[in-house]
Amino acid sequence: MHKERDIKRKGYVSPSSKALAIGIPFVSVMLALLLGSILLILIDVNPLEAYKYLIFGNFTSVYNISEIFVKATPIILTGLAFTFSYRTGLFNIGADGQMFAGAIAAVFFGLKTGHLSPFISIPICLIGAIIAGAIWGLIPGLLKGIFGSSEIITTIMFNYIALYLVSYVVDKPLREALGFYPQTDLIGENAFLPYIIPNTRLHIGFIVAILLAIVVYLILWKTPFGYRLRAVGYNPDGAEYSGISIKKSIIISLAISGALAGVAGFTEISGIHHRLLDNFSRNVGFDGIAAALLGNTNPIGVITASILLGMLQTGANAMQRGVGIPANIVSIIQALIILLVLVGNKLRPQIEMRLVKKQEAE
Amino acid sequence: MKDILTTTFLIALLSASIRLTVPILFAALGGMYSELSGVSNIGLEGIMLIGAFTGVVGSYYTGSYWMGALMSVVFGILIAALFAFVTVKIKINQIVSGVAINLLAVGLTSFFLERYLE
Repeated sequence: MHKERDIKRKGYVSPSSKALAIGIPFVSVMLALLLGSILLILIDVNPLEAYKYLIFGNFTSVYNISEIFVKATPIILTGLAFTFSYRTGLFNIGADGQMFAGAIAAVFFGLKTGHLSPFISIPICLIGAIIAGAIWGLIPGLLKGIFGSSEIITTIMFNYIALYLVSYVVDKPLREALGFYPQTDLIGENAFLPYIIPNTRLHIGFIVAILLAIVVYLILWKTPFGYRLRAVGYNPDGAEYSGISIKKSIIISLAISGALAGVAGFTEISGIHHRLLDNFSRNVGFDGIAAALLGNTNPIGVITASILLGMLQTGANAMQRGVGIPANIVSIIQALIILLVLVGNKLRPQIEMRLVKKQEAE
Repeated sequence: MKDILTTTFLIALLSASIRLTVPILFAALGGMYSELSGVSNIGLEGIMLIGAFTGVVGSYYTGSYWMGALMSVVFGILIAALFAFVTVKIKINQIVSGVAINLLAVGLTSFFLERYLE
């Protein structure tokens, strides 16, 4: 009986609980792949052969391996964005929109300052993207903090505003000089992010993402400011009672969350596309949510989960080429992973209780 | 102004408005049902997508649009039941699971579309 109470108390970490933190995502991924294999059997494809391509199809050349990390970079950043707000008890579904806002800013400054030295141009683009993303997160934050409107609805709506803003920007104000396609001109070459490995698309944005993951970890877990944010997320009433301003925490948290997603827009523009396109990198925000949930909303987990998702997405293309299976099966697997991880986390206390009882019986 | 507002134009405008109202009205009715019982159904879009796809498949293979409508109702109920199970029974976050349902619907429909209807 005492043990049951111990488990419910925050801070007590039983050995089984640590194992579950890794076990639940792992089992969820396996179950999702298993359910996906049923679909594959339905269309008369041998799932083992398909998954061989899905998982090992990438490891054929340095370029293909680097592509995994290229795909993972924006997912890490949007995953961190979701993590940051989630730890404050907020659901920021608007990482997509914040990324688009950051991308517009990055392209704008890339076009204007691209002829200057890279040491000036790249930081200006980065700071512009951070500010644009932060504003895109700040407005829902203000709406939530002041009027109490649901941040979930407002961030979703802000996705659409940013999405159509991109369509407008590439159609009229920043349309390429030739005017053929709805896209902007290439940004100045000095605003391109340098590549880590030559002849691949892997750019230093990946390192930026890793560094930001460390920064997020340090802010949330090693500073009083982060402690206050997590206190609001864990128990808003308790936090308010001990003198923490909930409103301020909500507004700051969503702004920082937006800034992180804005950086994703910067890395996509300055690192990969080098211009703004209509409809580029769609759904990266939702991939970020999946990565954050899969990684137990902690930065290390987010990095691992993002690389896993990057692997699945590039592997899906290899699978489409190899066995002719529609690459969309990855969306299905990803959605199943999200659902299964969430269900697993909800059932976690019951699983832990059962494990403890088993140990006591022995 | 006068030569725009002809009878033909007005009839076309009104009929187009009513035609475009139908999907929004159905989705809004669905949203109202779940909202009144305290569930924000973000997954409506995904459910609509599944309904549209199974409706087309049903009417294509049976040749009757009534069968298509029946198919979309049945599969709409099935996917909504999954949503209801995870949000009401297991109580996971409604919004995130709704987003997951949308993603699932996009994946399922495009997966089977490429395979069966091309």
